Amino acid sequence: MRVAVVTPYIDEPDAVLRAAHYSVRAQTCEVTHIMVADGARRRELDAYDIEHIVLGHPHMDGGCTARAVGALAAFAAGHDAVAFLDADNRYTPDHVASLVEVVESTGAALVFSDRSIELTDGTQCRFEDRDVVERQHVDTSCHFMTSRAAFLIAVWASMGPELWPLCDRLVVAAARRRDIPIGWSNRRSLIYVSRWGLHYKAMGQPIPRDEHQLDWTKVRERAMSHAESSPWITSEDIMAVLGSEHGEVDPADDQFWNRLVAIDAPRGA
Amino acid sequence: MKVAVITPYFREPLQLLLRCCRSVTTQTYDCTHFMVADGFPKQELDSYPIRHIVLPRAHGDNGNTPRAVGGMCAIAEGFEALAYLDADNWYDPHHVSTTIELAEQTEANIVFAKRRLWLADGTRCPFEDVDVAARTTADTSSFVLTGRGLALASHWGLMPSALSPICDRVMVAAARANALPATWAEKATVNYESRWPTHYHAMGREAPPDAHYTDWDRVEKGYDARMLTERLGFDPFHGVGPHRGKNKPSGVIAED
Repeated sequence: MRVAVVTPYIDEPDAVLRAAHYSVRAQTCEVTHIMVADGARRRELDAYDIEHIVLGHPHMDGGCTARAVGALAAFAAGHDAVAFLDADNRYTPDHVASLVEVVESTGAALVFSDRSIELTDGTQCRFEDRDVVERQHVDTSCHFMTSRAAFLIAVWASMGPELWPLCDRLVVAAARRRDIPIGWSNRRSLIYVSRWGLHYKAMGQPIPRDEHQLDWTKVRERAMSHAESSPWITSEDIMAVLGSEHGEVDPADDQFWNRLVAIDAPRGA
Repeated sequence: MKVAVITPYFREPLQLLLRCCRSVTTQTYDCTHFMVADGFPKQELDSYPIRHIVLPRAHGDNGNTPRAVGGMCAIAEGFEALAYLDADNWYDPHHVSTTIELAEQTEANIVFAKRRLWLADGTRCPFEDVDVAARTTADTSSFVLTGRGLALASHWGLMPSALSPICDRVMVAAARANALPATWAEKATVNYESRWPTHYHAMGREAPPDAHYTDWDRVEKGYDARMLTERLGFDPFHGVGPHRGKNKPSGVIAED
């Protein structure tokens, strides 16, 4: 199976991009790394062993358009499957091989890995989001899409500035609605570097200055209005993904701990 | 309405690309030109008022992948209509205004513009393909998508590459399968430089050395009903495949 890894980037530091790329190069099976500039080309990447797509203009949609473009180019170039890797995350070396094995043994068209969460100082977070553990939510970098699920490219491409905060959730909802065969590697082979305050609070660590924040009320409002005009994403999809609890909570609140599950297993297990 | 014109290009001579490019900058309706390099970017284009997207390798699918990429980027940037223009063709100055006005008047989600044919030496060819004249198919550069029609933008790149020689037929079928309201322009606004032998023969000429031919064996072998249904949501050939007898151009007729 020919596999491409697609990484959109915009303004991440060189060291972060290098770490992501090296984790792709360290895979135990052969893969092509497609990096997509969501804006200007970064010349320093020309030294990497990558296919470099340059969009020349930022799309302000969390990399969704760049991701879709990379996936489309990968399938058109004859790859059988695409793994996504966001620029600030990394794979363990067996990530792609373990996903390929699931496709080959189950015939799944879309496969997901699990993840381990790392704080920006390298500390491993001992918690995971409950909706991830319960498999309602799958982070983008855990997605592995075979060409049989290539229609999802259109879903990725249609997020826009309104829907992108929900992108991975909506893709999973669209896949489930189409009833395509889904598989799980059950391996925590993605290292997800979190900037969500929840994970820092749970670990008793200070929240980073570049914390990710979302105004869920606005996300909900914009998402519902966008659903009217999108042929790929239905209002049912949006209702399904907005059903989970979101928003700011404090560790003193029971709701905070309800959103998390303690994880003891080491990375890659 | 915010309009994007999408042009994939490959190894066309700069002179041809500039003709295409200028025909967009001289439109009477404001529009943005997305030019997408399919593996062979021309740096000279960077000085033109275009949005230049660079794919690092050629995809060998008659421009389908770069066409889809340009369309997806334009939609993500908020463009509300996509007009396609292949690199060896060019528009009349009123093409965009005419087709957008038609879309607005008729509430069509897809407008098929009318074309006029030219031979490569600049001779006007006063014929049209029978199936184009009968509106059973339309050339890529005739397509204008808007509204629900924008959902077809990714179809160019999602169809199997073996079908790329008949991509415009697949797209017309996609419009029908999705019951998109469509309208056809009466007056020609697209200029199509032909390399198809039928047009040269109709003019009593020899086909040029770089004449186009459709490899029907490849097209027929590349037909996979399941893959088409999985990727596009429908099979444009209803399980029987793109048989050459039904789909090849069926000769030419004189223009009105």
